[in-house]
Amino acid sequence: MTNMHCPDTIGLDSNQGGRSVVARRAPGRRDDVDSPILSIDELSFRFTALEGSQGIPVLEGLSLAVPRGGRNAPSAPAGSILFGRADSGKTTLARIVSGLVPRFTGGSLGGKVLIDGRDIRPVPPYELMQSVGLVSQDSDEQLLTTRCDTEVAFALESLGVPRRQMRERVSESLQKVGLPDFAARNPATLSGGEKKRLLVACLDALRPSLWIVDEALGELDIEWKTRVLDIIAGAGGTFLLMESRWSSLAASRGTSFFLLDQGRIRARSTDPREPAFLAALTDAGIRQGSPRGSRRPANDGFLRAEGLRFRFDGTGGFALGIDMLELHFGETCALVGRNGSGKSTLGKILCGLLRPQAGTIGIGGKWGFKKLRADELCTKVGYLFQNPDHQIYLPSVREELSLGLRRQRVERREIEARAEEAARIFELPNLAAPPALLSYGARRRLQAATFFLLSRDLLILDEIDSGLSYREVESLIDALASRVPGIVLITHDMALAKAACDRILVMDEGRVTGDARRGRFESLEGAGGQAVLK
Amino acid sequence: MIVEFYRPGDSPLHRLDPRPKILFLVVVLIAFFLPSAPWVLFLFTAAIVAVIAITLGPAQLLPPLKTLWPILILIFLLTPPFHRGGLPIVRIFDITLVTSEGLDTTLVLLLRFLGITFGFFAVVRTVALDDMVLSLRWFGLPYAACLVMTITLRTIPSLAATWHNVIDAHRLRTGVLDTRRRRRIVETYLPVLTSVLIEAVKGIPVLAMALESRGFGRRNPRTSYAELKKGRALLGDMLVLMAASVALLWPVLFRW
Repeated sequence: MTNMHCPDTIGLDSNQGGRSVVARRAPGRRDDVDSPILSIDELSFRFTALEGSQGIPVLEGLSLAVPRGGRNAPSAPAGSILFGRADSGKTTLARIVSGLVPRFTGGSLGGKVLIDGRDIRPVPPYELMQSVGLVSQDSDEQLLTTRCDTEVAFALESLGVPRRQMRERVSESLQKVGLPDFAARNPATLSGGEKKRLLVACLDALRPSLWIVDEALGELDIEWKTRVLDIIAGAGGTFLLMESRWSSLAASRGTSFFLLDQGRIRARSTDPREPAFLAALTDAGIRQGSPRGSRRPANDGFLRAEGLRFRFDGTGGFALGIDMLELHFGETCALVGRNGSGKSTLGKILCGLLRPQAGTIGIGGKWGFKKLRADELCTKVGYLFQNPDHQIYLPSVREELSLGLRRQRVERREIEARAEEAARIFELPNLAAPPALLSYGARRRLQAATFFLLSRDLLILDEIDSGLSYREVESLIDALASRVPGIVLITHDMALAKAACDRILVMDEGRVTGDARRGRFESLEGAGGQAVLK
Repeated sequence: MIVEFYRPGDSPLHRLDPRPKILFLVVVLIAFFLPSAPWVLFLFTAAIVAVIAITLGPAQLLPPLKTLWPILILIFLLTPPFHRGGLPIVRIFDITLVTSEGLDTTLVLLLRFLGITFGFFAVVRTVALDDMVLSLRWFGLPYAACLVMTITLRTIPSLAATWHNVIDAHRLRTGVLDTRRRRRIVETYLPVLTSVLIEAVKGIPVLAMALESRGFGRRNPRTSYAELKKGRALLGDMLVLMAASVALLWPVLFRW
C-alpha cells in the first residue's frame, strides 16, 4: 500500500520487489528525488449512470506510485509500464491524471492523485501541462491545427516560449520523430503511425515532468516502436506507458510494472520477468499463451487480385503494385509491413473502397472464377477500419447490428434474434446502449459483430489488435472465424501474427515481398521481412 | 478527402501577405453591396475569376461552383416572380414571367453571390489557417475569437471528410448506395446524416480536452510560432492591394 496518509511523507510502493523507500519531504519542496512523481491512493471513479453502464465503476480502490526518473533523478528508474486489457480503465486513469476526467465527462471521483506532491483535482489541465503530458490512444482527438510544426508549437505558444527557442525545439522534435519534411503537412493527412509520432514530438518539445503514453506503440512498426521508446525514455522526464499487450521491447525500458484489472492494480513488480507477475499477465490475456493457428474447416474458395496498380492523386511517392495475390478462404492470413508500406491501401482496394488504376479482382472456387467490380466487392469483402469510431456511428447497439440486415430485407423478428445472438457472442452490453459511450474494447467488439452478421466471404481486419490484449484479439478472430470463411489480419505484432495466423504476407513499398505458411514463417526473414520479423 | 480549404502553393496570390488580402476582401464586400448596375458587378466578378484562373489555375474555379450551383439555380428561378416592375421581357399567353426589373435584380443577386464567394475562396485558398489567426490578431481580435473562427473553418471540411468516411462505412455494410429513387435517397442518407451529427456532437468535449491540455485557458501572454511579413515587404503588398481596391471602387464611387 502506498504511504499516502501522512501529508509530508511520500514513499515508493512497498510491494515493488521488496524495495521500499520512504523519504521525508520538506513541505513545499517538489524536487525530492526519492518521492514518486505520481502517487495515486484509493482512487475510485465511475461515470454518471447511463443506459447500459449503470453502476459499473471504472476504477475502484486503485493505488500506485510511479517513481521519479529522467532529469529529476538521473540515477533513478526512467519509467513505469501499466498493463491492462481494453476495458481495464487505462484510458480513464490517463485522463484523470491529466486533469481531463471528470472535468469534461462528468462522473464521481474519489481518492487522491498527487503529481510532484500536489493534489491535481482542483487544477485545470492547462495549469498541469508542464507537469503531465498525454499521448492518447486515438491520435485524432488530440490534433488541433493544420500544420505539423504549429501542432508541435501550440503548447509552447500557450506557455509563452519565445519564438526563436520555440523554432529550435519544434525543429529538433520533428527531426527526432522522423518528420522534419512534414512541417507544412496537414496532420489530418498523416497515417496512424505518423500521427502518433507527431504527438510524441509535441510532448518532446513541451518536456513535461511526467509523460503518459496511452497505447502509443500499437500502430508503429518495429523500427519506430524502438525509436519512439528511445525518445520517450531519453526525453528527460518520467514516463508511464499504458499497454494492452506484453512487449519485451517496452518492458526492457521500464523498472516498475503494474497490471490493471477491473479498475484495480492486481499485480505489481520491479522485475518484468518475475514468474508470479508473468503468470498474472498470462492469466489476464496480456501475455500470449501457446500458438493456435486456424480452427476452421478447409474451404476451396479464394480471392484473386491480378496486375493491381494504384497511386493516390497528388502523392508522387507511394505506388502500389501487386502482380498476383491469392487469399484463400478457410485460412487466417496476416499482412505485415512497415508504416506506409501499403497494407491498408491494399485492404481498401480488395474491399472496393478504393478503385485501382489497373488490375482485376475476383472470387473463385471449384465452380470457376468471377471478376468483380468495386461495388460488388463491397458485398463480398468486409473491412474493419483501424479506428472503430470511424465505423460505428448509430445511436444504439441494436441499430448498429441491424443496419446491414435491414438492407438485406431480413424480417424484423429475425433481425432481433440475430442481433441478440451477436451481442451474446461478442459480449456486448444491452442492445439499447449507445455505442459512443461503450468502452474501447466493447466498441471494437461491436465493430466486429456488425460484420459477423453480414455473411462476407473475406474480412480484412485493419490493425484491430491495437489497444486490445492478446486474449481479446484471439477471441475476436475466433468469433469471426466461426462465420466468415477468410480473414486477413493487418498487424504490426509479429508474435500475434505467428500465433494466430496460418499464413503471413510481408509488404514493403507497395509490393508483397514475402509469403509463407505456418511452419515456414522464419523463411520470411530472407524475403525483406527482417524489419518486421524482429 | 477534403481536409481544409487551404492549398499550399507559390502563386502570386499565395505570396501576398494575408493582412492586405483580408482588407481587400472587405473592399470587395463593400464594392458588391454598393448600388451598382449589373454590368459593373459583372466586371468585378470577371476580374476576380480572372485572377483566380491566372494565379491558381482554371480548375480552381470548379470547387466553389460545385457547391454553389443549387443556390444559383434557386436564385435564378425564384427571384424574377417577386420583382414585377419595368418592361415585360418573357410572356406566356397573358402572363408576364420575367420583367426588366426582375432580370436586373436576378443578375445583381447572382453576380453578388458569385463575386463574394470567389473573393472569399481566393483568400481562404491561399492563406493557411495559422496565418489567418495571426492576421486577425494583428487587427486586434482577441485570441479566443480567432481560435473559434479557425476551428470553425477547420471543422467544416473535417465534417465533410467524416461524411465521406461514414458513406464508406455504410457502403461496406449495406453494399452499393442506391440514390436513384427518391425513397432510397432518404433511406440511404438519413443514417449517414445521423451518424455525422453524432460524430460532430461527440467531438465537442474531445476538442475541449485537446485545447485545455495544450494550454488554452492560461492567463500568461501567448507567443506566436509563425511570423508575418514586416517592413518593406508588407508595405509593398499593401500598396499593390490598395491600388487594386481603388481600381475596384472607382466605377462605383465616381459613377464611371
